[in-house]
Amino acid sequence: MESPPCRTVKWSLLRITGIFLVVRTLQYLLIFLTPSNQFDTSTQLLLDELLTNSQDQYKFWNRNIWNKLLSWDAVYFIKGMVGSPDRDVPEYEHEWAFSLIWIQLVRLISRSNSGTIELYRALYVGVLMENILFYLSAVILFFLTWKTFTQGSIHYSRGSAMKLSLLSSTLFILSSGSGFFTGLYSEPLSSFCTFLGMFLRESSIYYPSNGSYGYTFDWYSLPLYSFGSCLCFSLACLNRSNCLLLGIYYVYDLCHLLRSKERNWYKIILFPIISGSIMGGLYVRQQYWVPFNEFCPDNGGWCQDILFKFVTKQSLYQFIQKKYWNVGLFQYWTLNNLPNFIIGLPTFIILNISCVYFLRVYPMRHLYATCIITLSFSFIILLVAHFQIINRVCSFLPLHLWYIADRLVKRWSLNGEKNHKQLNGDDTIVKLYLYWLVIWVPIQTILFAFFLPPA
Amino acid sequence: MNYGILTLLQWLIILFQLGTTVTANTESILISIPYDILIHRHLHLYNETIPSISLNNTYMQMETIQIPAMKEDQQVVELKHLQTDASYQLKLSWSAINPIDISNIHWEVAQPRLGMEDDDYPPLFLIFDYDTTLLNNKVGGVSLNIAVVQTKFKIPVDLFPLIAYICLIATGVWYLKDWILKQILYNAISL
Repeated sequence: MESPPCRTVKWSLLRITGIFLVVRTLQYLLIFLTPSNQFDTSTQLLLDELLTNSQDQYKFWNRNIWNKLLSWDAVYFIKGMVGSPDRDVPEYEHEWAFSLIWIQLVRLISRSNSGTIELYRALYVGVLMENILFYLSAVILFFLTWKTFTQGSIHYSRGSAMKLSLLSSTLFILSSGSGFFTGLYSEPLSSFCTFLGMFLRESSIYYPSNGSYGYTFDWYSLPLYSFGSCLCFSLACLNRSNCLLLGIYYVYDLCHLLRSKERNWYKIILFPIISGSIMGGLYVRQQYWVPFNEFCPDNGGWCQDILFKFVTKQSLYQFIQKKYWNVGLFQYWTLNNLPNFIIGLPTFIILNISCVYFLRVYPMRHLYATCIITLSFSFIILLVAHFQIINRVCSFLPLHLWYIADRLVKRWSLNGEKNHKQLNGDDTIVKLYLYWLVIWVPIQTILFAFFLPPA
Repeated sequence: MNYGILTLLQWLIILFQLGTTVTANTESILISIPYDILIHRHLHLYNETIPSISLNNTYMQMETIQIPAMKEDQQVVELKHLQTDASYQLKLSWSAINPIDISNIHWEVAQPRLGMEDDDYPPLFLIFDYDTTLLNNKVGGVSLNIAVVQTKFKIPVDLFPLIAYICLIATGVWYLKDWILKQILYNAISL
């Protein structure tokens, strides 16, 4: 694997930083200019209840920026972050659906010397951390893209790989959920952990130089894989349960090692089996064991259907999603949700086309696991979830960003600037998606600040 | 204004109409008060303790009321100074940190108060059911914002500044989209 040229890396990182600062400044300016009388007027009630001095909410910057960031799920996050001295677990059952890891992380940093956490202090710290994690995710994605597209069966020139890396990170900053990430959402933490985990996994893979599609793991890379990537994927998964799909990497690696000629059982056990088991075990602990000890057997409902000891038929998260947000198979498929499907459709299409692209059009074997994860994710969202959240929760996936970046690089290198209007099917899709993105991101930011659907 | 912007506008209006029906912790209804509404008066809902909200010389008004915790009941709110032959949005918002359920939101017209028979404004009432049984016991109950907003073309008038703002931004971005993409993306790959 080649190292990226140092000068170009510095220039690229400076460019990513510049674009990040410009885009974020414009987004916060849009929020500032959004009318202060939100559609959903409950932020004032929230502030009345959680602020020590409720008059603080009327200060100029609080009224015109900070209060507007307390929309939608941010309400639950801020309640958890402010917390209560006599309670270190959520007050109500449904609050368990919101990342306790993200909440605890912000609490840890925003706690004052006296041990109390003031609402605006938690909000400032949370928003700052959100932005830092979002920026770092873009930076890590740059290196992940470089590593992914300069080794194994993929033969990109240094120049093309560098452009691809830079474009992927830029597209991530402009991604379809970035309006929400101006506030307190937990997705950037998952993006950060996922990209870092993918980078560490990719770094631990050894591709033979004979150009074959096979790969293996060197023993020296065991800490990177079984400690580094496992820790990152587990954190991403504990933060947002949809990241459980990252476990597919371990299943894929397991199948690959089992089918390889070498079939080294020590490697099979110590690499994918150990890592997958740790990740799965932590998930079971968080989703089943802890809630069972907290709520059962006194609680009815999901506590009643026990499959094995503390493993219930439904996890607490599934139960909450179904009971409080009506999440379930085809539950969202109603006529009045049609606009929400339209809003999520561009992202759904681009996710699926990127899978087809890397599976069929330009098959890249070592992206197959990422394709499976992306396909599984998009169809779970289509069938089960509130469809429009695909714009926000797909932020841990890089495949569609790579697809768009790859098309832009290919189109440019083939046609140059003069002929860039000659488009094929993929290029047209990419162009339309980019147009949609440029229009959608500012509108989403404004709608979020105004506390108006869609969420 | 080109086709793309017009489509966007139409989409926004549909979205607002859907959005005004229900959001996570805001419930609302659109009401149209017919000019002959007083013919249908039949209820006796007056009670000195019920809260009221008045739309006197303004296009929107919001009041905060308290409902008791750990209870399942009906709440009535008097709507003052709403005109006949007009449409309004009635909106209820509560903080999502309090798990309460609001349902069966509707409105009724009542007999005028004694001595108020010739009043220009019909005696209207907002009625809804609430369920706060999941809520932990809170002294003083839980706060609920009730807003009454005039509507034009079935869109609450307080949304007009936002619609204008979104249209302005969307139009600007639409005309600048190629320049924006060139600055952000194409300049990166042409170097």
